Amino acid sequence: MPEQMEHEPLAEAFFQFRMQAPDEIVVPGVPVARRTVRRRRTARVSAVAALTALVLAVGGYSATLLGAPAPVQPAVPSASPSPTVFAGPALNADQLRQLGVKALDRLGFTPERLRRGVAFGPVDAAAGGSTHLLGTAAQPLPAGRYTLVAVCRGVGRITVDWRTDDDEGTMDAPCTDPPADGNVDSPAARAEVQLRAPGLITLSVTGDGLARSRAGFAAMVTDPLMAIADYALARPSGDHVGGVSMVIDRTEIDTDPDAKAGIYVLTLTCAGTGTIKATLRVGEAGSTRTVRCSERPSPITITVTAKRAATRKVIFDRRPEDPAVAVAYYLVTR
Amino acid sequence: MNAAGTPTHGARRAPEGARSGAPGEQGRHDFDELYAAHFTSVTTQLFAYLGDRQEAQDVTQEAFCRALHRWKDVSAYDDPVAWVRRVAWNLATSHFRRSRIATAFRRRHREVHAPEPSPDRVALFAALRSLPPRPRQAVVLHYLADQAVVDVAETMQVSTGTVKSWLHRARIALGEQLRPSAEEVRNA
Repeated sequence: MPEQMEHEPLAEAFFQFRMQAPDEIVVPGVPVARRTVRRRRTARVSAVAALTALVLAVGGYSATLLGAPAPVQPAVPSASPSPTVFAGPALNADQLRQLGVKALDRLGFTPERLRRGVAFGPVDAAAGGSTHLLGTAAQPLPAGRYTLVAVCRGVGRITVDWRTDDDEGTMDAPCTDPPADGNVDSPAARAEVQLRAPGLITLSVTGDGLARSRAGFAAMVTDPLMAIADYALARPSGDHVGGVSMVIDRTEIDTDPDAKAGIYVLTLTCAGTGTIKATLRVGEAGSTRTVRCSERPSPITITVTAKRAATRKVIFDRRPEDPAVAVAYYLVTR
Repeated sequence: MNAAGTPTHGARRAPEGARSGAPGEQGRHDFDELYAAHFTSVTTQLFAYLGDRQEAQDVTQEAFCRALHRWKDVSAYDDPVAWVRRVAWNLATSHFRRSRIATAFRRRHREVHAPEPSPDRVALFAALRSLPPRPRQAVVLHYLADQAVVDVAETMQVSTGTVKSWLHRARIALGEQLRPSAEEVRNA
């Protein structure tokens, strides 16, 4: 046990944290771990087969060159010089794009794999900055509550001004390099943005004197499907014991190993197409419903009475071959 | 520790005193029980260290995946959760490894319906972020994993004197930041 001699603000702060944090943690679940391990094993077998084929091919190629002097290759400068900068001269377009890609990577995307509601690019040299639209006239963002996240790589700071038909706001983000081992990345800038009707979010990204032409940014809003599911979710009264909005493309399980006895009410919505199976189980007690996913989902409710403390599981089944949908749920106990 | 940075044994004693996936038949532990009993506590520690809940969850899940991958060996250890905890910390303290995991997991964007962090939480995280990585790890292991100084020293492979020094300096530094100001006390 920690050696506490007296009342200590540090010990008290950790005590509070220890009490609160577990309620916020989402447990992905054992089935997800099993699936990951299974997938990696399959990938490893494929990789070994591919490597074997490559070795055989290279071996054959080398054999034909055996005895011939090796051609001397001139040194080729790197096609992608490191975009890491500490102020100094302005970067070229390629280097700036790479910083934008780095920022995008922090949000979990690549230029080849983007979705609606994501933007990235260089921090413009112009003092007025650059403008980006999240959503398009043909495919606006659906009404809902969005979290807007912006990150910046490089030097200096950026200001992101956002605007909708009803509202506007601003936020700042520092431009940093990825942290060295063990250090914490600078926090991403976040803002809550409400769209009361389908529409666009306009972003204006402006760098300070240091960031202009020396930084790249990326910004995203919550997946629109998640916003739809979340917007349609009704939150019943009771002690809130769990809730998540998430995009799912296969079975997802949230587990609480220490659920108390009581009446549990799960309310959920599903945005997208097709159906999912939703299950609430507390020990022996459980109930499953098939939920239709749509662009205008309605909340459905599952109630389970647990007579004793047990492990509680919220399970969403979705066939992996079906397109991903978003589920929002809110769980209370009474 | 092997070349891959994962511990080669799990024989250390578990200081948390929680359920540890008790050994079943043939002295082997059950993965499901171990996971259910320890996922949250390991994640809580990494949450404090990293300051990012999602990242802490991803790293902990990765550690459990690695345990599952070699469960035949890990389940035979006296204390498999010590192995998982060690792997999780190794991943958390290596930005390169952590960022690869984060990128893979973050594609599946999830948002927890959690209340806004309290001012106390914000202050604690800001204070922790002001510490260098190693002392920060020592503070988290001591105050959240309930490890005694000697256990922290063993986990981090440093002397007990070093740990005591880290904790002493951290208490002073963080205490100053976390203590309410005279003005706040008067207002209260």
